[in-house]
Amino acid sequence: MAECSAMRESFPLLLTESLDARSRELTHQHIESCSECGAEWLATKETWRLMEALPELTPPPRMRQRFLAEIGVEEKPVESNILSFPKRTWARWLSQAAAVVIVAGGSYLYGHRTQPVRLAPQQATLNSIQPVSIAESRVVKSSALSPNIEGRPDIENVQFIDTNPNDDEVSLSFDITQHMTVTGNRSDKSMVQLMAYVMQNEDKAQPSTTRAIDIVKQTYANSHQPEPEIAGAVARVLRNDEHEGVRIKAVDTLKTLPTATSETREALIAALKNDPNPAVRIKAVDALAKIAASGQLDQAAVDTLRQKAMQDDENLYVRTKAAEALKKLNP
Amino acid sequence: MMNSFLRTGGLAVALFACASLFAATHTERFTRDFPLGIGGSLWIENPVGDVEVIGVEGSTLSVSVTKNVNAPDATSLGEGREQTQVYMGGDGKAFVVRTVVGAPPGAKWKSNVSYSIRVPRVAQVHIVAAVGERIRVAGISSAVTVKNFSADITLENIAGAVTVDTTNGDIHFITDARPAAAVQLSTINGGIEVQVNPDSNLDWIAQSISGDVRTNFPVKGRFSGNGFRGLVNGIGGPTIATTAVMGNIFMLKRGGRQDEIKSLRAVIENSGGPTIFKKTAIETPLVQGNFIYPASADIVSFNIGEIRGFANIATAAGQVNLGTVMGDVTVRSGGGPFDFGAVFGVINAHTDAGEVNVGNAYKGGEISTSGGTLQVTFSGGPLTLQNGGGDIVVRHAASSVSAETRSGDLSITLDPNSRSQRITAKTTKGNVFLAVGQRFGADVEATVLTSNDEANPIHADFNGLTIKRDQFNGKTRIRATGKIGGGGEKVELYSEEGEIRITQR
Repeated sequence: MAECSAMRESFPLLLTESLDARSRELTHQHIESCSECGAEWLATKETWRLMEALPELTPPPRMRQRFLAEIGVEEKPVESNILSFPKRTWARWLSQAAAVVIVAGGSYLYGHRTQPVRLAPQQATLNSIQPVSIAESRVVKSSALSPNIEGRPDIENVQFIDTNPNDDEVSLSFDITQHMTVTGNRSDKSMVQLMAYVMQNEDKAQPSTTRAIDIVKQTYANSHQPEPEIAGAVARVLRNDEHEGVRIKAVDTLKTLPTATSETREALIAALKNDPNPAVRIKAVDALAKIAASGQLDQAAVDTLRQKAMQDDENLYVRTKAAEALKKLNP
Repeated sequence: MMNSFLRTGGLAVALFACASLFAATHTERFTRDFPLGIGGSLWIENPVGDVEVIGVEGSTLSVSVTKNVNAPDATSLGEGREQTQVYMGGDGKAFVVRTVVGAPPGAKWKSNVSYSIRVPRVAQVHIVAAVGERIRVAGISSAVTVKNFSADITLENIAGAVTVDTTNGDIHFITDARPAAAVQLSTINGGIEVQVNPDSNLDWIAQSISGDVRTNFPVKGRFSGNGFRGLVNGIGGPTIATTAVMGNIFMLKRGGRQDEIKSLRAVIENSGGPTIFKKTAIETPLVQGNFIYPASADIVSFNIGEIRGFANIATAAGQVNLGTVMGDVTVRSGGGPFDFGAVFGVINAHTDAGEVNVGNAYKGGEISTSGGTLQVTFSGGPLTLQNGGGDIVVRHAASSVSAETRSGDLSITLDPNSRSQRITAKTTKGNVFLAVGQRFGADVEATVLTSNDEANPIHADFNGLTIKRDQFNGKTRIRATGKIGGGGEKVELYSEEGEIRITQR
């Protein structure tokens, strides 16, 4: 315990690097072996650091005079026509006095640092929340960026941009690979748009577009909430995908979706007219018949089904299906 | 209690009576006359209701209109009257009669407008009508066109060119004279009856994929494709084209004998085989022995509960549903779905279009479709599956499986007790899923070709697979090879732009 006291007394000297090498080594060894002195040393260092940050103040003349009087030092008046050079002794005393004041003040601050800071309760007001958007490219102010980087995201294609060397503003541009999980209600606008985008972003869809369509079908089939964006995205897959298996799934999904947009209808008509795979055409017949039967008679759908039923070189089963679909229509 | 019951019942009856009282029909009739010159034309558009147009002498067009509105209450009735409008206008050369019905979605009222029109005989008549019971045009010496969805259409004594298109209606073309102009009649689900002067010479075209074609005229001609083209009586007449996709076609002598009417199949001899298709359905719960339906151009649907022998079916199109077949199954179809319950023999089945669903294929076989989902619940013998486009699913394979689809997912689940089976599964667009049992062993070669060079598309519940990547035709090829479960038969899996997943159950 006595050793601890002696060691703590040497902390200021250690801070000012005034200890000789041996004492310094002994003090450090003690700090490492004694947890209490270690904590005290850290606190002292923190106090020292805080004091460094404090602005240097010149004591008011009256205070200085009083201080000097108390310690028995008389301040000589400065002759006006002579440039005075303060004596080293006086300067040393003054610096020591300032150090005492600073250390005393710092100790006071340190001693009261654990006191809780009480703030008057205030009503919290949330002014706005900026929604996160998924974008191909984005410019962000550094002030809007959290200083915490979570995990180790892959950063590539880094560019440093300093458009104006005369100011302090710089830019850092990079590609970042980020795995994002979006959770929300199936009818949220953002979720609908995201689903539609994912389905059409064929090359990056994992495991595949067919799986994406399956998910869309499970999520939105027979939903009470019509989602034209989803129907439109599936319609575009039906129009554009080169693989018949994908198109079969797309047309199957369109049949179950509650929304029949003009884009949906046109995609189905195009599939029935031109798709080379008979299974796609058969399913397009069913889907078009459903559209034609809902609400008012859809003349374009009826005309396409008629045309298909009459087409000599069409598969007989497709023709029969088209005719049967027309027969069921009861406008 | 009894009084309360009576009061409640009485109130209900009274309310019902009031509702019945409010349910009202408004009928409005009026007639307008207009001049229509020689060579003029009459255009009629009527979405709901009947149309009758009679040709008369003179140059006056007389339009009689009957507008009916039905509604459950006075407000709806008023709205229906307001929203059902008849517009008439034109000049001496062309005159338009049009019904406009502005029924909003969920309207409580319904309306229809019927027209009875007297038009100069020499005027052209063009009718576009969606829904109705009857359209009749008679005594017109100029051209007539009718387009319609569901009404029966009767044309009597039309001397000019005729074009009729209907979806679900029947067409009757009747004339006492010998036709002198081209006639084109087509319906999808209705039938066609043509009655002309017995001395008429006609160039007759008849097409139907599932109806019969019958006549009591002397006819010469031949079948081509799915239609007939020939001469009625002899050369020199106009062309009369009759197309009834699903219905029957009759070409009859006006005033001729009913008992002389025969199917064209019987009339035309040495025609090289009938190709007028007739749809039939064969439904029976049990066939004691073998079931053979020879190669036929007919559209035939089969629904057979059990066949004690083998089944051999060839059909132009139609559904084939077989419950249990004790022997082999051989089916060829130009299009239509297959559904087989349990087949104890070998299956050899192909359809040009449609889904295939097989319950138990105890001896396996070869099954293919040009497009549609192909699904086998159980296979007990070597199974080869091919799909022109669509998924292939084998839920329980106790045999080797070779499955290939041009695009679609492949899912094969092996018997959990199977120690090794040769499996080949290929898709050029889609995923491959293979589930094997705990004791399964095989030499695996799984390949994915993808345009995503960062993809990691092969997943296996087993250690020991070596994964290599290289570039192939501008794409990234990922190959996983090695032995699982100590090795065994070869398992070859291939996917483009998808993933391969091998799981252990």
